Amino acid sequence: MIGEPHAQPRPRIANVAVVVAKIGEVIARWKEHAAAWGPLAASCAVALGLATGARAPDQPPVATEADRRAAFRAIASDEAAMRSAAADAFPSDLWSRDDDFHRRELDRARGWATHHHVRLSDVLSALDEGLRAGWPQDNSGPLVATVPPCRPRAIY
Amino acid sequence: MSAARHLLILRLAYDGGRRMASRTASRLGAFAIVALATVWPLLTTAPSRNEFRDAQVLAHYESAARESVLTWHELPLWDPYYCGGAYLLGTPQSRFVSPTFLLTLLFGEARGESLAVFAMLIVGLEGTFRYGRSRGATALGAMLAAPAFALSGVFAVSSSLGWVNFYGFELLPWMALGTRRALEGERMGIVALALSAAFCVGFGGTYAAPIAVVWCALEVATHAVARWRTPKRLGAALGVAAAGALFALSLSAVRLLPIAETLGAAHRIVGGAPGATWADLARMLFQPSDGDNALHGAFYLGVPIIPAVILGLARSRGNAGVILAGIVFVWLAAGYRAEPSLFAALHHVPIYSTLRYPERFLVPFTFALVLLAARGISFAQALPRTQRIRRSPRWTTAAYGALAVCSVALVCNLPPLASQHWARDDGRSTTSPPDEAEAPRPFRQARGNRWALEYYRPLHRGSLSCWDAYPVPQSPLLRGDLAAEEYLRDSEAGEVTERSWSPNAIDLAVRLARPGTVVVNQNWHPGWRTNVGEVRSDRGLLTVALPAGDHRLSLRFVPSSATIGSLVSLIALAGLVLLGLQARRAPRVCGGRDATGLAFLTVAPAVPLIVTALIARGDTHLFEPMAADATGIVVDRPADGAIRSGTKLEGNLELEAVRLSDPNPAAGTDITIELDWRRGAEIPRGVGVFVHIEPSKGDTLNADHVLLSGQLDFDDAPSFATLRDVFPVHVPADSKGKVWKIWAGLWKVRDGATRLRVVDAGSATVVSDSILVASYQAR
Repeated sequence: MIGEPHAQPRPRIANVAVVVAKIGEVIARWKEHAAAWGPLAASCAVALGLATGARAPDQPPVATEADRRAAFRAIASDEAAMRSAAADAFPSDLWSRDDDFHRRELDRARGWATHHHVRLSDVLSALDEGLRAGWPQDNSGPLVATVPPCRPRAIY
Repeated sequence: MSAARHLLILRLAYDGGRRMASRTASRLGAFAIVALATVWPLLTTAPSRNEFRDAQVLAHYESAARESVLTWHELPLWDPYYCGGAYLLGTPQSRFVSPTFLLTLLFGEARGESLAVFAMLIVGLEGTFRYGRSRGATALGAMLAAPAFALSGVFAVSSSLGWVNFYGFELLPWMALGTRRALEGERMGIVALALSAAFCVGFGGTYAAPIAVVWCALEVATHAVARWRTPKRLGAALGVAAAGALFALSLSAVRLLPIAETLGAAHRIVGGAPGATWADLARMLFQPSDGDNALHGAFYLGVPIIPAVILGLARSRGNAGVILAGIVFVWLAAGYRAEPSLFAALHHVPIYSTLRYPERFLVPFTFALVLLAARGISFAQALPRTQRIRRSPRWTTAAYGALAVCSVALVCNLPPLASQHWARDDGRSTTSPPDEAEAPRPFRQARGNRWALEYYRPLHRGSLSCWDAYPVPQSPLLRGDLAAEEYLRDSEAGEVTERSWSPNAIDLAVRLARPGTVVVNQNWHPGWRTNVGEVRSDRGLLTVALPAGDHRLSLRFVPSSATIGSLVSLIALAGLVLLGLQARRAPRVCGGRDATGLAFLTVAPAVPLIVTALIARGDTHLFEPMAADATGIVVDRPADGAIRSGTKLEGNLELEAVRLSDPNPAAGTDITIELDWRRGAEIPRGVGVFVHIEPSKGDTLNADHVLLSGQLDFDDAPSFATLRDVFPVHVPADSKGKVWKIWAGLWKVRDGATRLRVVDAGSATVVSDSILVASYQAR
């Protein structure tokens, strides 16, 4: 068997005494400890301060109802064209085709949000609400409310 | 400045470095400063949202877990916000079952993520130092070399792309250290191995833990070779290491069982023959990232480490294990480009068959190089003290020179390493985070968009648009436009009202004039339970069959794998605490009584698993393979109207028949192709279908795939039945008048991507094992 023979167990009271003595020693030498552990503590404090104090980039203003409807109309009206382009890119893979459509849809949404200086989340929310409530749009067919199940390609 | 003064400065720096390295507090302080400088850009932009697509998904898993705990006061088990509902605890890429989740809970996902990166860098630096020391490096050598691993390019890439779970690799040194100490019979080795492995598994991702296990296996193998002359001691060492491995498995059970359940129901299939040339691997390690080529510097280690590595190689004793590990891992990293390919062999091992990118084995390779560098510095420190060198002033000067050059080179390597992080972090596309919804509104599934996934949960919307690295069990019947998320299949049968909703619990009031089915617009999972009626899957959709009458229906998500896994992990944790306490009294396992006690502690966590297997029924996934048109995939014979082919291929596989939806499809529309396959009892593993559609003029369309009808793997398909492989093909808008020939066959998606030989053409034309199955003309 590996290792050394067992040491004789210390009485519990002795353990307590050792711990108390160590605490006393730590208190007595706190300056020394503070100096030793200071860089670590200071670095952690700086990291914490930076992460919690950092400000997020400013948000564009909230979109008005008219903006939201206009965003929906602009993007949803292109759905058939975007799906057709996605089908050309992925002729036989339904999930990849749908995924590519969503990439194109996001590009359009991001472009619209930037151009009209509104929040992207408002544009995405408008797409959801417009699809659900049947807001007017000029797509050449009905909008699709389903997705093919996620089937990542085995080979890229 | 005079040479003497230069020497004095070097001498003072050397002494200071040695002192700093040997004291835990000052060393950790130095590591923390290095980590802080490295992640500075990440920390100063902490609340910004990383717009990269993978970052959206991985951050979402963490945010969804946080919301479950803080908003709903539930364990993060089910994620209704993604893919129509998914088993959050069983998602391989989520990282919330780890100590860093505390940072997420306290500071939010985005700020918590940057703090987690900072913390993991320190963990990696200290782990590399300690493992280096256990490998015989001096404190100075281990401290100087550690940043080259812990700050290496893979971590720079990971934080910039939001792949935070790659920081699990920072635990590789701790797992290796635990294994090494367990092999020495130390109880704390078992504790270190189990804790670091469970941390690594809980931190998510599919690469760090499996690759670290290979390192640990090599550690055991080299130990066994070194100790083979003393079989009794070797047996005891292997016993303690095995206890460490079992503790690691038990402690990780809370994650491993759910992940095993998820991947068991939805195999991650990886095809192709990926690999990299030796020159490419060198560029990944030593060429800094230039922004143009993603591979350059992807595992950046820096050229300045080379002198120390060479010096380490010159050290004759104690290097064999590290050199062996280096050779094994760089061989694996070359993937299928190496002949013979070790990666191809590893691909036959379960779990490892799901690894797509062999170059990620460069992470343990860099670790091996860093260890050699640490040993090189140690060697240089020892050289001037050897008698032969001491006798010659010239050699003494040369030895001190080598030490100075290698040490200064490693210190000079710090800025390039940190600059990789700065460059990658500055190159991120970031934006302001979406606002959380001011007023809570009812949850609804939306069509969504996985490329912008992080925007949907704050809107209290789920995204059906879904991506992950495995085929997520997702119903094609989910809808993103419903007025209510729960409804009756037969709307005339009564009414259903939502009383309360949370991710793991849905309460409904149901009034039924006759027996009916409540449909919940989420994916079915065997972990869903109900207080009345029966939970069923309707083509993957969550439904509850109810008798007539008024019901207060309570749906709860309580998966067996989570409950049993938690129990196993808790028992293992209690065992580890005991082991840790024992280690204070007796550091090593010593004697038969100790061994018996250790065996008891090791086996105890397995009790819930055994009891469950004996008396309870675990959750089982009902596999319902369906084609996109909701027809069955496994049938008795080909459909009427299909053209018989009868083409037999090697490996007991046959193309029975072929069917086209339209031999004259309109340009710009889809046609549907159906290939009817049949398999025998024994077939080669990892077979895929290749389909090349050749036009009379222009580019060939490629419709290669692995899953039949996008659902069923040949390996899992039943034998002696017709297997319908139905898939659409888009007819390009500009292809009017063109004639398209469809060539198809079977190939091994791994193992060199070779085609399966056609042994009997039947009624088909065959060229180069490719079968001409049909043709069509676009109108």
